[in-house]
Amino acid sequence: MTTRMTLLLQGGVPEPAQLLDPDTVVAMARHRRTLQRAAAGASTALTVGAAVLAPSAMSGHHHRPQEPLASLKPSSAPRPSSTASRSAASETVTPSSAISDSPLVDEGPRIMWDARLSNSVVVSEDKLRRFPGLAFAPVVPNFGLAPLRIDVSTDPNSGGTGGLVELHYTFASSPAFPVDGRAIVTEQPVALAPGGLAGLATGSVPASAGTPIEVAGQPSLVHESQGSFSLVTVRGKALIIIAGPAVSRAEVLKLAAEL
Amino acid sequence: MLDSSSTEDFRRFVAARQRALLRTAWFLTGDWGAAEDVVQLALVRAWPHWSRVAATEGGEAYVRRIIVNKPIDWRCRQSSVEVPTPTLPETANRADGPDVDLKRMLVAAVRALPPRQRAVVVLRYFDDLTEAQTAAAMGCSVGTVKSQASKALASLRREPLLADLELEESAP
Repeated sequence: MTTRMTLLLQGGVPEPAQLLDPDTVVAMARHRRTLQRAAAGASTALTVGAAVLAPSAMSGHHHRPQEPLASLKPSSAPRPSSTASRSAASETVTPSSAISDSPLVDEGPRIMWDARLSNSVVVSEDKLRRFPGLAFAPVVPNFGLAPLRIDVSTDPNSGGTGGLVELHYTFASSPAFPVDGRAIVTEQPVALAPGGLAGLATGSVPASAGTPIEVAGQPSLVHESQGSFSLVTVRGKALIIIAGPAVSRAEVLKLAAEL
Repeated sequence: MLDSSSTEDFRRFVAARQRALLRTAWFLTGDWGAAEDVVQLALVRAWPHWSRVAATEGGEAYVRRIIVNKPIDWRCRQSSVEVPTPTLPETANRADGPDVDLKRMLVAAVRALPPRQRAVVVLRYFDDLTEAQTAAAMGCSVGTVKSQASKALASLRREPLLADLELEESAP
């Protein structure tokens, strides 16, 4: 039997200003599971965002993977709370890292940059645009050279429903690519407006989401991990990640500007 | 990996129940950002086991169990810096109509309770769970729920505006 106290409490608690996107939650869950599998020693190469993880990492490249999907809650729109309330909230916000039970992310599973997406096929640029099963319009960036390889997978195990695309570029060694000239552009569907990225690095969002920045007028997040930079942005219905084994900040911004 | 029907069931659950879960988490954490984090993490943790938990204890009970215990853990660690406030900062709420002051005072008083007492009150009276369901969510005995609820209600009755309010013990 519902008591008066219940009615008073239910009437006194505000409605949430933001709701989570179910698809994003599922994508995050898959992302987390993939990290766990990779760190647990799964023998199959597993895809996480822009990176392909495996316990037997190649080339000795240690890299803490960025976690774009782990932070994609739609928190960009301003909440109706006052400045005072946000100030108060800043004292009580729970860092995700503090309440997460997954130390695996912080352990930094190695990224196997050469591994292929699960059940992927190599396609041409033309075939990519007509590829069935993609829930977004893929972008083929013009970085002054064509991608060396384009991988497409619509296997849900590779990163979620709606497909996953990886475009592999190899640049000449330069100060921008001091160690390795590779850059990999990963594209996958996301239910997040471009403006939503800005909210990822504020409030309760973990620092690993990256630093918000505008590149060519597009909200983006820049993330540094062990000397290599990556960038996350949104174009239409696609989440785009630019990353590589050793990409400088200047280069990742330059590439993003050319998307 | 979950099959597609379980994943779809999970999506429907998130869409249908997240509002209630967020409100519960807000009550427990005192902040929308933290509430979103807690609910988000709880859902992410629940997803791989969805088929099993949905068929056994129930998906919502499982998610709620995660939500309830995470804020408690966090609040215990942060207790030295916790500063309960007498007023609700958020402006968008449903505390309107009759008893608006009473509602606000009651919510503020509950939020100022110690973490476990607050969790009991939120689960028992806000979520309207039974004592057994509350105990399951908190991972404690029914006796602990009763004793924590009793202490919580005694604290609430000490609030001037709530002194005359009949804080009923709902049916177990």
